Amino acid sequence: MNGSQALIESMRAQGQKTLFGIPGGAVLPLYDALSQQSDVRHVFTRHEQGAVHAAQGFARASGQTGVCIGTSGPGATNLVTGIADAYMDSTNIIALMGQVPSQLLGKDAFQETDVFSMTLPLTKHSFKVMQASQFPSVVKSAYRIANTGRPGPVAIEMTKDALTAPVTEWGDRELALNYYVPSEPNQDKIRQAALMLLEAERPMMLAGGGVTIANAGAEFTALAEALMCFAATTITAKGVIPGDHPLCLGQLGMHGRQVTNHAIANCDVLLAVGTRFSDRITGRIESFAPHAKVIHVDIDPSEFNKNVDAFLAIAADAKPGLKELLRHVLAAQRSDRSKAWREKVKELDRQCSCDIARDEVPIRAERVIHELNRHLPENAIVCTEVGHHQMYATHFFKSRKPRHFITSAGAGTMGFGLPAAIGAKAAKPEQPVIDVGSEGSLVMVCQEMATAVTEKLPVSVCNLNNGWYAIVKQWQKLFYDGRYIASKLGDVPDWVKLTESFGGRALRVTRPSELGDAIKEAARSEELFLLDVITDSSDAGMPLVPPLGSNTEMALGQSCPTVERNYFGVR
Amino acid sequence: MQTVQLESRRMHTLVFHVQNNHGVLQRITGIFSRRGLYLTQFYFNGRPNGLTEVQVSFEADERMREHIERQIEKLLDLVP
Ligand SMILES: Cc1ncc(C[n+]2csc(CCOP(=O)(O)OP(=O)(O)O)c2C)c(N)n1
Repeated sequence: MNGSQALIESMRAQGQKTLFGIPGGAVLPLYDALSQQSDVRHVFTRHEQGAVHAAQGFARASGQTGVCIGTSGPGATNLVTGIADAYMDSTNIIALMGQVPSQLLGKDAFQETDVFSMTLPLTKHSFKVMQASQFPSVVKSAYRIANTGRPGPVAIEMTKDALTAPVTEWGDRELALNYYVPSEPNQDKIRQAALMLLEAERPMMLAGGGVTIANAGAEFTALAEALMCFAATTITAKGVIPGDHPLCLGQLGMHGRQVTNHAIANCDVLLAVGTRFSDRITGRIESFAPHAKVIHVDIDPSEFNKNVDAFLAIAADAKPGLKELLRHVLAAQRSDRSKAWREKVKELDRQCSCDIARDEVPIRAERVIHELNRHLPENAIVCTEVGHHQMYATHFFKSRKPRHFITSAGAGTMGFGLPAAIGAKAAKPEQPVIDVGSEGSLVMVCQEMATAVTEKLPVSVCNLNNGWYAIVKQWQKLFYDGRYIASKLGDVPDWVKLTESFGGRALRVTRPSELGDAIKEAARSEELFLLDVITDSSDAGMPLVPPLGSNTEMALGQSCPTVERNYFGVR
Repeated sequence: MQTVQLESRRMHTLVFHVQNNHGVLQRITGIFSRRGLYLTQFYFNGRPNGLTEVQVSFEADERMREHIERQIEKLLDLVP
């Protein structure tokens, strides 16, 4: 057995069935070993960025580790954006990066780049493997690191000689490292938190991506119901409480809903679970939940008091944390002190609804999302690119289940969605997977259509084709007096022809009335299928908190409803 | 981890042990450079792959110091 075979065997032992990658000189021994076995499937992407985003989509749809491969030098540097993205969204992936033979390290050999050092700030941990015998224990440790505590990416740099040398002795003991040690949520704090929530007059709950990762959607929803408490979700938490649940207020923050931002701004107790309170969520930090005692539950104690001060910080995995809270809440006598608040929020929620079934041509982005809500089956996995279409989707799409909405949140990486969809399809072949994208992002990764076709991972793409970087256009309009530069894309390429040239099917949609059937067809399709939906590039339907502005001072798009300010009578 | 407060109110020294694995030094210094902080003193003493003592001094407010400590506690190379 050589190093490459040991590497594959170690991954197989961890249950890995799928890898995404591209070969090159330094990793050819690994590819050769892959060719000699059939337990682990290799999905051949067309760009390493595609491989890493596919690994992310695979991990986020299934919860299982996503693995990607890039050769030394440019192959590995092409992985870097996705590793950074996975770090921001706490995604459990392992990046296998080739390296020149160890005797050439530091000699500026062909395709020698210090990718180990490059990825250090972007990973939970990075390994440098220079001996074949290291693989079993390094791989075992890497899986443990990627998947325990707050998950995240792990990079393994492997010299070519480590991949080819024989493994004389098999030792797969985990390396002695400072691994995450699970701890039970502190019972006193849980009791106090439950009491605070029960006694609150204006309680709110907030779920972050940690709730998704912990598979704690059911517990989160049950707690909201037990408390009769409204809940906001960040964009990595979409679906942890069904989007159409009467207690779900949906998105908060920069592109959030007005009611949600107002409710957070006026609540007196805020239970926040698995969120790092990113700037996109909080807006100007001083005006974020200024009246609230914040109960912060997180698996990563370094998040406490980082962005938002916690009145009560509970270090725990979201699932046991929520379970324990629920147990205490159910056991308590409740006096229901928040009835008046609930009525007010409900009233505000009613005010905060706009007509998203609009009939204009070119089609309005919110109409597309409206039709997706109506016509996608409940088990459809939605991925997105990055831009306005993404914000329309996060704002208006009603996810009903966790892990069914996959978007590049913390990093905002254009080109994430299509390869992530391919990865999600590899993990969940029975479910329809659709990338809600736009042409600016899609053109950055359109080569992955070849992957979808040749690897038989038929995903659909709903291209909100508006001819612009619409979100950049909006910012240039609002903050730079409409001096548009480098934001108009024009109408190239022809997306129907492009998709067809890759061997997929495509349909151009120009009228709102055609959307329903087109979406149904996309969801059913067993081949790569692209809907080229010609949409309006305006920002009319989307509220926006200017950067570092206060969440309650949203700039409203033309067709946004006006929600009463200071409705709650709290200053 | 042991914290030593120097004369200056905002000067902190952290003393801890790590396993001297590849990249550990970069990881430690990266915690500071990423946040735009300067290290004012650095001590690193150990064997390849073995137990290593680290002392770092830096200027920061209390909130940042606490945040830095939490980051160091997360290092996989830390020997608690
Ligand atoms: C890789 C990358 N480069 C640049 C940006 C900055 N950026 C954010 S959104 C955007 C435009 C997105 O355009 P498009 O995909 O067409 O979406 P739209 O806003 O039109 O819906 C740009 C350039 C980014 N997020 N990612």
